[in-house]
Amino acid sequence: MGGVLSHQYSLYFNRDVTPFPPDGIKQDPLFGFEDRPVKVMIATEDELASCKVPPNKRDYCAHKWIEYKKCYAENIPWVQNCEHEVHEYNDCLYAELVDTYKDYERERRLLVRAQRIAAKKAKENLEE
Amino acid sequence: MNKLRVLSQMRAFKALPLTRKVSPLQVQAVRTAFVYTPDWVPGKRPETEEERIKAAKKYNLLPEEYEPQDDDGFAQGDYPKLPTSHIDDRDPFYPWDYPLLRTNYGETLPDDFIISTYGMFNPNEIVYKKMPWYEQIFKATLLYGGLTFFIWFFMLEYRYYYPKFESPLYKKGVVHYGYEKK
Repeated sequence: MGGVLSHQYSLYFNRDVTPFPPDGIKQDPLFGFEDRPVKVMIATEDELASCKVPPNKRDYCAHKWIEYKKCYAENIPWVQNCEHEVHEYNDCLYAELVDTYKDYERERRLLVRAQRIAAKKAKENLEE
Repeated sequence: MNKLRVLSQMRAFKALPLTRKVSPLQVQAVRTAFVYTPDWVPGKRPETEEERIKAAKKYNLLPEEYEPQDDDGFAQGDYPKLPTSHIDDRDPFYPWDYPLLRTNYGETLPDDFIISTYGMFNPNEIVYKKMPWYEQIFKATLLYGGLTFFIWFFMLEYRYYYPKFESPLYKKGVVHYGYEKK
């Protein structure tokens, strides 16, 4: 993971090896993995619909969000009782966030690797 | 006469040895007599061509330049009609002979020059009015709104990004991969 300022520098000056964040993942996600774990959506679609989960919260932490909201509705106005649920949900969000940073760094390193291999190939061609 | 000339340059109440024998009233009479010199008073309004040429010469003007003031009852004798020029309208960077007055030697001055000096009212002065408040608000909105629109519309790639992708949202049929088995 790079610092934010150095990332901004790279976006300007090393654009060919710096993925543009809004573009999303472009490399093969399974490259270099033996069995990569798949993210499991624990909350079902029926639960999402019946709990009226807003669209921007329908990520892989939705089940924690539902638990938290359920606790909130049961305990209102003593919502401090739901401290544990909030903590769980925030931890889940943080793990997701770390994954996004890891995805970005993996993408960047794959680009650097491709560039390095291409340079090596060009050098060999010159020697021949 | 010479003594009186010297006296006219002195203050009336100053008792110097030279002025001992002269009373202050006499000194003041000499001083005031000076400004009543007939040379300083405009002459009669010129009627004939000869008088015109004479008056023009008196005011250091060419006969074709000389023009008496309008005969509307306020004309000052044979004093020439000259365009008004306030001291603020005169070029401060021109090498005037008298820079403080911004006049030249022998220059014929307009008759209102004495009330067109520094600090006096200038009818030609340009005074900028303050913008009304609604115009200020309108123009400020245009400026800042335009700047915001420009950045939002044209500078998408120069925004501030964190080195990460967006968190994936669940969608049926789309597989997202993690890093650790849970």
